[in-house]
Amino acid sequence: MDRAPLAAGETEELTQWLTADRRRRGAFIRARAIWMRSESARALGPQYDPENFQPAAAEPPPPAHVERRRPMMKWSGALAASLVVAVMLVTTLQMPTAYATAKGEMRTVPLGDGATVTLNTDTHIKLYDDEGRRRIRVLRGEVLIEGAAATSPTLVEVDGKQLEGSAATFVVRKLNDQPAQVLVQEGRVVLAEERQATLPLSANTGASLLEGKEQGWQLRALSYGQLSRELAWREGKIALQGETLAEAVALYARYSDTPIVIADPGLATVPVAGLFAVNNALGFSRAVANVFDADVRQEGDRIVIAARHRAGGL
Amino acid sequence: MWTRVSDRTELEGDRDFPLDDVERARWFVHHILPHEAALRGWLSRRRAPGAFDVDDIVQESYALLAERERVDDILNPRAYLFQVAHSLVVRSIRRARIVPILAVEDLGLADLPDDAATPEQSAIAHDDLRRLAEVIASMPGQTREAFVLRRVRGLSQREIASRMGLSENTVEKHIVRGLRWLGDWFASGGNPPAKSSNQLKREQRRAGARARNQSGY
Repeated sequence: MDRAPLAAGETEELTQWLTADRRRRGAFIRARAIWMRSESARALGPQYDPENFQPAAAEPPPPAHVERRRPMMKWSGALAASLVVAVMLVTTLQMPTAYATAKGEMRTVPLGDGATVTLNTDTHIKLYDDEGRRRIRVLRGEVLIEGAAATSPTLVEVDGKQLEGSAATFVVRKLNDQPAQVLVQEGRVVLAEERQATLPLSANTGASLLEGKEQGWQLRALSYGQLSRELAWREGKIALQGETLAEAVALYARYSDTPIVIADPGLATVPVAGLFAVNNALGFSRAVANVFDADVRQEGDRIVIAARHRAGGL
Repeated sequence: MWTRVSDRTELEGDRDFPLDDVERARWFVHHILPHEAALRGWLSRRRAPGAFDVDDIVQESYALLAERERVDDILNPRAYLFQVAHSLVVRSIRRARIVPILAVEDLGLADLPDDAATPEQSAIAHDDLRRLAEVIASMPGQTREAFVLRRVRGLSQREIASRMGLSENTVEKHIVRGLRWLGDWFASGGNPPAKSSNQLKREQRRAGARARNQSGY
């Protein structure tokens, strides 16, 4: 037997630990099932040599050595062994820590090692610790990872893609209905590509996942000014430089449940520039209305921007 | 049979969790594990980004099935597994409250994969042992050696430790790693597990070297 069976106290402890998180129970039964499934490997017999099963490799001649016969494993011990192995597996499974922000909220989480991750509005991430290596899975939203001074790299997963930042400060975005984006401000970020060479990004580079394709990123150089605008949210600002009013309104929608409605199709296409506070949709609307000679009114939960000649008729 | 699982699954968390139910584990081996890859594929095609995590849904689905009083009354375990997962997804989406109506509509079970074995499943069933032999062969060095000694030759951890000149603790770690390797294999539908993080690391180091040699993009 590999290990003594679990003592009564240990069993109780284990049960409590499993009960604390349902996912642990699922992972536990899964581990036991896989362990049990691997029992059939015994049927491979003593002649089994993994070298003969290397995929796509020329088959080497069968080895000549003869394996000494082993007594059958004591099956009474099998259960205890499978419990121990399953527990081992589940306890080493990384149960991640989830962090989320509501609309309009921002939050900074230290990653240890001097690195931090800042969650912008309406963002959901999971933080894993893989044998001391940190990994962040971005499920939704936008994060800024600041690890320029950190000694260990940060692994990030977004949209099924993996990237790794070394001594890097970078933004990862996964916004609704948009392909994932990576913006590197400082340091080096490597995009891992399956079955392809990895793709290193240097500072001041942006990468967007190509939509509808199996793989591939589209790269673009970012000027200092562009990057600062992309990062204006850290100061609680939205930086606009010629975006249409419709685009600006869509940006505000990320930060607030109070939608801005543009009542005039003509207004939707006017370009807007300026630095605005993310948490002040009404102020933004008034500023815009002032410039374009429009009216702003609040209708229940909405802010409506309408051209003056219409509103004037009321 | 679809109506059997409803939102009430949420409330069933307090039941005693059996630790040593061998029959239950065996049922999972035959009726659930083979469908995990298809379930993951189905979940990852849902159009609700960020509302749920595939790993969480899979683990919770396993847990809900493990907590059931009995499983032998489940006529179609594959369909049942998908139904459980579906109700968990709907629950997460409701909780997230951020997903457009479209996403919830998109979650209809209309496109639920049918009960027929998928190509990868029949492949697994067809040459089961050979696939197992291959996936064990694809394990990294010492993990593979320890796993073969343990699961194929049936040696105890202590014997493996002395044969490989490692501590028992290290042997145990290798065996757990091997088990995880197998788990990844099931998760991916019987394809060799994706690159290990070590492989990825090696590649990244190489890419890093390239990046240092040329001056970036």
